Amino acid sequence: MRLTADTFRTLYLEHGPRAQGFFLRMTGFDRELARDLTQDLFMRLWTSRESYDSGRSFRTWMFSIAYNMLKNEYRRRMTVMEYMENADKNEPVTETDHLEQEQRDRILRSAIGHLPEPQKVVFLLRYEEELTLTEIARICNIPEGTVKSRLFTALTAVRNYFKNNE
Amino acid sequence: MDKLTELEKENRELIAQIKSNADAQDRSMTLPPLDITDSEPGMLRRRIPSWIAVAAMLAGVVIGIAMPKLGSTANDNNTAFNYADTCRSIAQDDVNLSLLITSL
Repeated sequence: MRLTADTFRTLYLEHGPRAQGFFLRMTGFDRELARDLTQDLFMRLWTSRESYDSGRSFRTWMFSIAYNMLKNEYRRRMTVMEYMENADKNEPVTETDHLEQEQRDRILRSAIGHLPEPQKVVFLLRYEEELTLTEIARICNIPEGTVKSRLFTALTAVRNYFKNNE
Repeated sequence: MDKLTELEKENRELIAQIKSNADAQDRSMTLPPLDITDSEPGMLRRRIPSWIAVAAMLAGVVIGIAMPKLGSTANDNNTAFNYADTCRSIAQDDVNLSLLITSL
């Protein structure tokens, strides 16, 4: 199936927010950078639409390219550690009366923010984007067993961090 | 049941909270504009660093003009024009340079 501009715009509206959110959390809540990366991602997808295999999930294709862009971005701009250090100060401020809930959300964001990049990416793809282990393995170009072990380590770390700081 | 599935089951609430936080964050952001057309697949408007393209073009033009005057051998001319061509190729990734040169 050839992607027309109309089809692509629909896909953008459907999947764009997920990609932008993924970039947001992977870049330590840098909103401007997340927007730029999202725009760049969809331009890349559009220009390489001839290579899109309609038998394959659009989301997997999108996140594969998004992940490669992030790796390049990490290399180009700063180290992963610097992103993680920014995570706390760039956290979005939410107006809510439920201070306890807000506190829990903040701890959770901080717990995820402290994960090393290889664990963080599989963690976000699994628990936020709800991708399968096979899809994550394809996106990150790693064996499924590695995805599982990284998820196990990451989930354990997040749970422990959350428990210790709650 | 493998270890991961077991752990996920134990932390079902935590995972649900992670998902719900992410959904809320995604909803709070607006998407950047996307300008695409079917007719001109190669000509896409994007946030390009246009100053890089213009600087590369000007450098190419200046060196292309200045270099032949600095030396009189054919090699100098070739070097200058090769350099100008390289700069132009770089710039063409982002802008339609031929249009700019024509307009100049």
